[in-house]
Order: sequence, then C-alpha cells, then structure tokens
Amino acid sequence: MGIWAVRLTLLAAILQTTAHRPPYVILGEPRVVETAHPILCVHTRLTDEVEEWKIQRTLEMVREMGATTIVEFFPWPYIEPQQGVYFWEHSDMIVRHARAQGLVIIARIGMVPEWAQPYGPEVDGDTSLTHLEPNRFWDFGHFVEVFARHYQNDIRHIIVWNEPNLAYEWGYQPVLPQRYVSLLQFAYPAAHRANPEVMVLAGALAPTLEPVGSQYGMNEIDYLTQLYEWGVRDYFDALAVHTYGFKFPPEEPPAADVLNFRRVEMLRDIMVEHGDAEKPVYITETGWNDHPRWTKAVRPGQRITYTLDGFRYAEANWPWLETMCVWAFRYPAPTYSFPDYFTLVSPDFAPKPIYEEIQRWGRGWGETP
Amino acid sequence: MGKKWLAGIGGVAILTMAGIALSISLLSEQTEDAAWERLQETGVLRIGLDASYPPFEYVDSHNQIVGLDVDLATELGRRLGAEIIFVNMAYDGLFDALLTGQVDILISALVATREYAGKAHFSVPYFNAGEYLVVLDGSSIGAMSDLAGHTLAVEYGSGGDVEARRWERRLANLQVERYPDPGAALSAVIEGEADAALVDGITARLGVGQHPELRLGENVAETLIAAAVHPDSMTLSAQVDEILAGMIRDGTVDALIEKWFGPQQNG
Repeated sequence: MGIWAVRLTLLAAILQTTAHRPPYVILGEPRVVETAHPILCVHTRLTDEVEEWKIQRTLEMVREMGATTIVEFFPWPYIEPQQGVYFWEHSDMIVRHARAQGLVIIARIGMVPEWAQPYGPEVDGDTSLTHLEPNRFWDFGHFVEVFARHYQNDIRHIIVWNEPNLAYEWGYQPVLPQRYVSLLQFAYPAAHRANPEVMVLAGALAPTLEPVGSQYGMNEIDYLTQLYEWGVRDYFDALAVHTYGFKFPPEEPPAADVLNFRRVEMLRDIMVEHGDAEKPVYITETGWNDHPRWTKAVRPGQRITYTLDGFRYAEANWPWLETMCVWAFRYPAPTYSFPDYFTLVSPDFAPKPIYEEIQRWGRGWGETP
Repeated sequence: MGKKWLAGIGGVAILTMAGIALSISLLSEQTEDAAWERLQETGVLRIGLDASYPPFEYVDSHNQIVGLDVDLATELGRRLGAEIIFVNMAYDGLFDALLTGQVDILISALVATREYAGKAHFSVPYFNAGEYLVVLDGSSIGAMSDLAGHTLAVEYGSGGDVEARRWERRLANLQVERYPDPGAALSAVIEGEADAALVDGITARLGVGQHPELRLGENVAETLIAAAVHPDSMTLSAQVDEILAGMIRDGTVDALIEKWFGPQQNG
C-alpha cells in the first residue's frame, strides 16, 4: 500500500507540471503616454477580464495607441458583494497597471449588489442588476465614498451610474429625472468627502429618440433639461455624454430627431442655458460600427475616416470637451453580434486597421485619411 | 520493479479513462435532443434566419424569402423528409431563438466558430466567406507570395486590409491600394489599376460570377459559413452533417453557389 501511495503521489506531481500556468506578469517601470492628441481616450472594459497579462497587454496597447485616458467600469456588486465587505483585488490590479502605463482613469460606478436589490411581493419576482430603489441611495453613496477614498491617489474622475435616461438602467423602472438628481445628492458630497479633488461626472446620457413618457426611456435632450429643473446644477462637476455616429459622418448637423455625432452640441447648449458654461463635457462613449449585417453600420473604411474626422472636428470646434472616449477597445470574449464591430482590437489582441490608423493619428506618425 | 511500476501507472490511467468514458456516456443519455424529438413528432423543421443578407437570404419583389440558404434549407428538408418553415428575425436574435427552442436550426450565413461552444453547435461548413485573391484570367498571379513588385487592391479597413498589412511587411515592393468598398477593389483589377484584389469570399464569388474575365486565386483566410443547432441537438446535428456532406460531395452545394453567385472560375 505504501509503495502505491508513493507512485500515485509521483504521478500527481508529474501531471501537475504539465498543468496550465498563466504567464508571469512584471509591472515594470512607469511609462509615459506619447501622444499628439491628448483628447484621445478609449473605453477598456476590463471588468470581466480575468488574466492579469491580458489586463497589462490591453493597457500597453492603449498607451501605444496614444490614448491618455481610459474609461473603465467598476461594478458595485463586484467590489462590495456583501454589505460592508470589500474585494479590491481585481480593481486594484486594473488601477495598478493603468498607473504603470501612465493612463488617466475615468471610473464608471454602477450596478446593484444582490443585498441592495429590492425583494418581496411588490417587485413581482427577481430584480435586475440595475434595479436601485431610493431607499438604497445612501448605500450607493457610501460605496462611492469608500471607492473614492480607496483610490484617492489614482482616480480623479467618477461617473455616477450609466445612461440614467434609459429604463434598462433602472431595472426597467420608469425613467424619472428627479430620481437621478436624488442619487447624485447622495453620491456627489460622498465623493468629495473622500477626495476633495475628485470630479463627479453626471449622466453618461444615452443617445435616444424616446419621447417623454416612453416606457423605454427619455431622449437625453429632455432628460438633461428636466435634470436642471430638478436642481442638478449643484451636484456634478462635469457632464458625461454618449454620442454615436451610426450611419452619419461626424460633420452632420445635430437635430432633435436625429441620432448623430454632433448631438452632444444640443446638450452643451442646455448646460450653457442653465449657467453651466464653465463645466466641461466628457464624451465617455463614441464611435461608429462596421458590422456587415447591421442596419446602423457603415463600411470599415468609413468607420476609420469618420472616427478620425470626429476627433478632428471635436478638437477644432469643442473647446469645452475634455476627452473623447471610443467604445470600445476590446472585449474579453466575442459577443457574436453587432457589438463586436465597435472594437479596435480582437479578443486575441490582433489590432484591426482602425487601431493602426487611430495610432498613426494619435502618435502623430504622419498623414492619415 | 520497473515493469511493475509501469503496470501500476497503466492501471491507474485505464481506470481513469474508463471513469471519464462512463461519465460521458451517462451525460449523453441524460441530454435530450428536443429539436430532433420535435421533428420526429411533427415532421416540421423550423429554420431561423435573418432575410436581409443577399444572396444568402433576402425578401424578393414578390415578398418571398429567397437565397442560397433558403435553397440549401429546402433541400435539407427534402432529404430529411421534413416540412420546412422559415422563421425570419433580426440577426441579433438568432442564437437566443435557437437556445430558447423557438427554432430548431439556424441557416443564415453564420460564421462557424469554436469559441461558441455551449451556445451553439455548428455544422459542416458549406461556404467560405474568407479572403480570396481575385485576378484577371490568364494572370501569372495565383497566391499572395506572387505579389512582390505588384499592386494589390483591398477595401480599406476590411479583413483584406488586415491581411494586406501583414503581407506588406513580408513582401518586397508590394503596393497596396485601399478602396472605399470591395466592389471598387475588383473594378481596379478589371480596369488594370491593380494586379490583384483581396476581398471577402462573398464579394469575390459575386465578382467572378458577374465578370468572366476574373478568376479566383488563393484563399488567404478562412471564414467558414455553417448551420447551427442547439448544443444539445446532437442527433439533429449528426443528420444535418451527413446530409450537408452529401450535398457537398454530389455537387449540390456547388450548383447552389453557381445559381446565386454566377459561374465560378477558380484558379
């Protein structure tokens, strides 16, 4: 029996040496972004990226592209899955590597942990990850404070929630601008208590044509107007906006009944009307799509030229714009649908031509289309 | 001592493999092929597709869904002895419809990929939409490696552009010209502005079918098109694979390609 135990142990040890091991990651010396266009930013989507070497490689390629800034999502349920218990390991990893690559982080905070989701007969079954009731706004604000304090030396920009003008982002509840203002009334002072230097970005408003009263959401023009009517002005430092080009070139003039790149100008006009001309705007999602089977997509070459022309238009005409973040750099795994054609790099890190063209422009490496 | 030790290792390995085989067998018996069982009961096979992608599937002027996939599915149904019903829906809902049992099989110019394991099982591929070199008939160019010192036309930003950028680093004096769409890249070859074009397989075959002066060269990259069934539909999958393989062998698939893409001149 003893000899068999030895043999089996030896066999197990041999098999263990053939087991997969992740690559060893070295942080390296801090790097500096070399860029000809500091406005260049990209949404990295590392929330669900498990392997550290992929996080490092993503952020290396972002720096090499000439982007100064990333938007990254830090889900509340991932960090505080149990009330009062925090798991920082993964988010610390992302922040550590972003810092090592010299990148500025704009942190989007949102989603709802299970313990903070409503339950009971009044909600008729399971609720979604985005269902946040007002009686939990304090908990969210508290998390924002804990987050801002934990990263006070690394993160100076926090986006509160995401696309609050869509019903999906409230667990399919009706969209109520006053509810978002109330959320900001908890989150804004909480963030500043933790870090007086932090910039709280409101909105991340989604582009939509939904009319007031729609069960699906509210167009961002009316939504922002109503935010001001409900007193939002004292509860944010900058406005985050999502603006996509869809089938239109970037120069296409804005209009209330059209979703295009310059629609952000209509939001800017509302800010100025309400005395917020001093506050900057951050475009935290933008881009064009080139999926061959989507009705809102363009040809691959158009996607490149429209994206670069969009950056040029923004730099030349929008002095109030701080940064413009392309959605999205890469997904950890393909979606097998239209969203895959928003990315700049494939899941296995193969750069698409659009990455190389943005890099050429971003680094100032010669003429681009 | 050595022989006994090896025998011991071998014994452990055999036991382990037997255990794995037993587990797989048990799992297979427990997994139902609901689509196959439904087909046996009803005689109807529901085909999911997005009829907005000619020439694979589209709605014609008579409001009928037509295309290569439609003909392929119809022939598949005939050989299966099944009545075919087409369920037309938006592309981004196809796999959800399959997983929730609203359709039995997807035949909609889907790209087969290993990474979709657990969400769909792909059939034998019946079309290659990957990048093809296209040249004038009679050209000495047949492969990418023949392009040193020549001009290659691609659609800007496309899969052809991706391959061209790789080859620019490998070939001496390869001139790559980028065009706004793949049709313009093919026109460049026809008009003598480029020695070859590198375009997706759909554009390549349509181009060759419409222009007898063009012929297909090397297939530079594969993008295989296949049908998809639910990951539990192993019986249906096996039947579909057998029929599709037969249709490829007996020339039915080639005939459908000729019907919908035009006569094909291969290099």
